[in-house]
Amino acid sequence: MTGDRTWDLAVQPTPLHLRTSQFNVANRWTDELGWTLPSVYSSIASEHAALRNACTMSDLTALATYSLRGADVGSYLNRLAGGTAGTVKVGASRRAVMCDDRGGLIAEGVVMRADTADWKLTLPVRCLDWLTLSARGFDCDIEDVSDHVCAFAVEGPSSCAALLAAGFAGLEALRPGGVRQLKVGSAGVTVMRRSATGGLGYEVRCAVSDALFVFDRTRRGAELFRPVLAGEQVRSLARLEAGHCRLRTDYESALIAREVDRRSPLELGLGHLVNLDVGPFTGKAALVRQKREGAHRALVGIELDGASLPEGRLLSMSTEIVGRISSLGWSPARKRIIGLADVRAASLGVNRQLSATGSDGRPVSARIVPRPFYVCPNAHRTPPDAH
Amino acid sequence: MERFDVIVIGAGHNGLTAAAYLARAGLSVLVLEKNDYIGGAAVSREVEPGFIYSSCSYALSLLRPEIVRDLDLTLHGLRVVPYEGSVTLMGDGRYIASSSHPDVMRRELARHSGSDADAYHRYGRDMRRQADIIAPWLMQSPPDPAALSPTKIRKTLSLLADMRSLGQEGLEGAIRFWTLSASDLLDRYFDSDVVKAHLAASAVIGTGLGPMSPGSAYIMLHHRIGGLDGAAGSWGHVRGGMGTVSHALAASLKSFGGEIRTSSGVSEVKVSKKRAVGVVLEDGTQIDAGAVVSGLELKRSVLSLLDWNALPKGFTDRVSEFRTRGSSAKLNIALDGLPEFKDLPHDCPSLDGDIRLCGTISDMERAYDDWKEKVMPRDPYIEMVVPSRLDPTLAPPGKHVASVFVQYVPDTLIGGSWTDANRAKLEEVVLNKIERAAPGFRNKIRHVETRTPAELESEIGLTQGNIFHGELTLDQLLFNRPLPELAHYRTPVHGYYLCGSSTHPGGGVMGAPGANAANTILADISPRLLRSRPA
Repeated sequence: MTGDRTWDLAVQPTPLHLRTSQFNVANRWTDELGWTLPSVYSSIASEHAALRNACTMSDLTALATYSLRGADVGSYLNRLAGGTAGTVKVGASRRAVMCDDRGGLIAEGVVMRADTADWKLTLPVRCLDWLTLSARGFDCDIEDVSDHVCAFAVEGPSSCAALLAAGFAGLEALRPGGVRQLKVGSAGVTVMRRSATGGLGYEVRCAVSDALFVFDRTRRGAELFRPVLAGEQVRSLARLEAGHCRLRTDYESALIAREVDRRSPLELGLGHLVNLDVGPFTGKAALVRQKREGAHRALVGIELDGASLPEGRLLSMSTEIVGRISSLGWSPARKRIIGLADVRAASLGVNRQLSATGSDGRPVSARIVPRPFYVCPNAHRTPPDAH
Repeated sequence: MERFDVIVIGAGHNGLTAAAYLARAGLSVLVLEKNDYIGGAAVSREVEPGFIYSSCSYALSLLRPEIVRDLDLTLHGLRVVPYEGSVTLMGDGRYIASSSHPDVMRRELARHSGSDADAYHRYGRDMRRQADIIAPWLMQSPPDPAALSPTKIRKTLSLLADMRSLGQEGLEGAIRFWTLSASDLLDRYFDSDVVKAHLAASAVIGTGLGPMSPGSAYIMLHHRIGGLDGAAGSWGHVRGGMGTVSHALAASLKSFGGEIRTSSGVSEVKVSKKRAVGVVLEDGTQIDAGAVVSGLELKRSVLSLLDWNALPKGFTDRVSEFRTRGSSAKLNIALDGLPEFKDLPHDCPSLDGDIRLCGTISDMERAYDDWKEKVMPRDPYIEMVVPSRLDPTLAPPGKHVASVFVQYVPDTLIGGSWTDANRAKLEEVVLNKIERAAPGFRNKIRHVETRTPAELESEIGLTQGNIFHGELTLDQLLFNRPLPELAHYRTPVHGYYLCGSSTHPGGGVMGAPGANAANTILADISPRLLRSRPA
């Protein structure tokens, strides 16, 4: 008999589960990439208020983390992800999009580089096979370290001050996107100034064995700032407010998507993450062609009238259905209903009157608006304002 | 003399499906079965007192949901318990305990290769895509590229349009799936030999192809085109054994007024003026019918039941060239206790599903080599299920039954036929292989029923013991199944139809050939019958 009991739990607890379960008074859970995560800790309203006005902490473990080593990592990443991902300097990070050969978006992730040899790629999807396949011909070793790295986020306007109070010295000088290696007690941590929620935020990474120690130390050290634990639902809402499209909600990875669900970065509004003017990268030819000929669809931000969420997800213009709402929510920051919608390119333009179906069956007026819905100037200031 | 609108020969699941659809349409239908039990290869039998064997087929996935719905099979007693996974044992301590839960499955594959674990999503997508292309073809006659009638051209064009919607990449993929060997196809996705062996296992079942033979990738696809309650590709156990499927179909048939007679073997189909007009039973009884449908395998349906003089020149030769080489045997075992596999804990939930003792793809290919040489299998591929883990109705409390499917067993041995001694030898080979994986297994055996291709042929009429009524290779699929002139369930004898698994879309307990044949028959005879009947 072997000791492998992989069937004990279908979805596994994260390294922070002891704490996340302790504080999850609502006892609402969800799962991502095989990890259990709190959906809501107490209430969406209180968690959102803390995220936008004070300080929150969230478990970020449910990301695939790949470690890349070798002489060709930079050129490999350029080839892999839009011609730009390999240009990251030491101590910095950048968003990157990975496409397949036909320009379909596999996932949007982050490349970070803590030191010369230490490249990390974090993605919301597991695709080691694709990364390995793409690495042929490059001196680049790829290792899936997701099970060995614990990540949590400290976000909100007070997050910098909270981390400083917790002993993360020198963080005030970290520029947006910057990455720094620090010591917390005896534990080595990597801090990256980046948040998908549109405000100020930091991601803290450490070894799984140090996870609880670093998390507790941060939480206790930042006690003055009353960090609130934020669940997946509020982070999802915050990402929507920040105008980010989300995998499995607004698009499906091209590696598993049905033909009709494939979307390119240009269609999703991520065109700024690919550089069509540099050398070859995976999917470039298809993206160049799409840019030349124009995309047929686009993911756009929408605002809806009223305060209740519409019943249906279809968007129509006069009597014609022109698209589908992929995500929707009441934005406490904007005090209105916002969403992202996948619409036909022909329906784009100013003053287009769109409508969805309200819960009473009547049409609800919708407008296409620029993204992001929520901008926090503090997110870009160095040092950030202390709150 | 008795007369029915339609006589169906053989109470296998396809015969019963066709009969039920015809009775549902208002025709008087009689099903004739030579055995004293119904079901053909979908049968539950109590050979050892207290132990119910699914004597031939042993798992369900492919039965079309349309048939379950149309014939109300759930109301007639069909209960399917899905397998939550399966186990592949390599024989060297390595194993995969697969799961229907994607996260568990990913971790299990990642034990062997992290890259393969992620490639499994891509593989699953491509398999699903190809299965989605084929699925609409199952419940209709295959397209006929040579037909010139506008309706048929339209149908062919609409299917081609479906293919075209796949785009270039999809089309290339489709061709690959139809022509590649399972081994080559899996090499495109995976590195680990354990992962590849686990997935290749479904490519070898029931067919005269090795995992390295071109065309074997399609067999994997064939085993995945079904599904249970929306879970594509999943397999399950039928409560009460596979005979429950046949009994549910029979109950549905009877609810529509159809009749079944067992112990009524048909010796001949009566043909008058090139038209089938009834049947003659083995006891000499004659029964007339407006149409006769055979659920038997092609060669029996044509060569055994028809007068060769009534057939076109060369037709019988073409029928006899239809490849039906048998490659499987089946052991049904009554056990005094649950087998315990040494390589994995006994509480592994995947043990509820099929347990494959297969080794690597190369090992499977070597087993195939033995089959080609027609020698006694030395190390055959074994797929075993212990359905009594899921279904306590199959064995007394604490006891169990095991269904053991053995692949690459030749229909005849180079040294002679399947004598009792040879059968005993095969039994030894199989039981010893299981004993190596599950020490103590042999001590728990209470009764063994071994069915070589010879028994499959003599008892349930599978010519050469081929479980699919004819091999599932590209040359024998779609408009070529079983022969181009028979691809639409009609034969050269008017009023005589085929509905067995020899016809499109092929074998597995799918029911689609029976349902499609019923559609063809209704299209042919309903207007005539309606005209001849009083309003």
